[in-house]
Amino acid sequence: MLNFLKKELILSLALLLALTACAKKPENPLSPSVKIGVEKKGEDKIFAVSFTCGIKNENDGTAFINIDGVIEVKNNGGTVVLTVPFKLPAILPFETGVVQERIELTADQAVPLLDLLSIKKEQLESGEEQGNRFIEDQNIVIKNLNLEKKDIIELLRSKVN
Amino acid sequence: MKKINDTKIYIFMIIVPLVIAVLLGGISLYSRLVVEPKAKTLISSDATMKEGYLILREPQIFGGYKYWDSDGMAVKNSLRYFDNKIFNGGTITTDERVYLELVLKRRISGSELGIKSSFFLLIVSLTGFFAYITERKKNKSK
Repeated sequence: MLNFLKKELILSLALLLALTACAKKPENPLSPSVKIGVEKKGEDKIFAVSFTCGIKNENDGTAFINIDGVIEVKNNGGTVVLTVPFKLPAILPFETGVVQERIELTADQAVPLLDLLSIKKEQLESGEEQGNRFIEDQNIVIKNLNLEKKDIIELLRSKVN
Repeated sequence: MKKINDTKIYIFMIIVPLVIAVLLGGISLYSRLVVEPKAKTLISSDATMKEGYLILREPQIFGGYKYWDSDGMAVKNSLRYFDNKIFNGGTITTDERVYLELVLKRRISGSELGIKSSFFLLIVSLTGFFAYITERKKNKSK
């Protein structure tokens, strides 16, 4: 009977350790939005996309450092219409890291994105359209997210000493 | 009808709550007698407030920072604030001590809950012990 109890105890402790050791990785960008503007670059017109979103660290004791990844905006058919590589130095527990990136697209590259966001190219060029849009959650995904997980106490201790 | 021998059930009833009570009680008493006084002393001095915060940053088992009740929201905001401040090389000022005390209070509540839960589990274990003795006496008298 004691052997049985030992097994139960070990299993419970292992489960507890597994539950506490797992740090949750961010899965979705928060409030993703873009502002698209038309700019002149030499002879050509380019579409400057200012992309903004948040990446939340929901853990209470794990900080993320040296974060890099790619955010993909896809149209409803699943085709990638905008790729945003990003880097963040750190996201502390309960914090939301802000990704702010500027991507330049040619007119041809911008068309699928403008279609997805229901923005008329002509109106954007004429200034009738401001080019601000939120991106629906189903059209955006974080890909190739790399980050280092670090215990917050260890991280803060390295800053204190 | 054959009388069922319940002694095995009572042994489980004694051992399982007792093991949990010893674990929880040990951790909570350690927090109460060692960690909390140390943290309190450290946060009372301006020079050692950061050290005190680092001790408090490790949550007590029953006062975990991921469980958010209404009282916990203020603690969450304090943690976010102090983490950010220390990470960016800032200093904790005397005016901010009150927020450190809030985190300490959370830890004290956690250890209190741990100690009370241990007492409850010890009572369950003790009840199992008396039931076991009674059952054995009954079985012997047959």
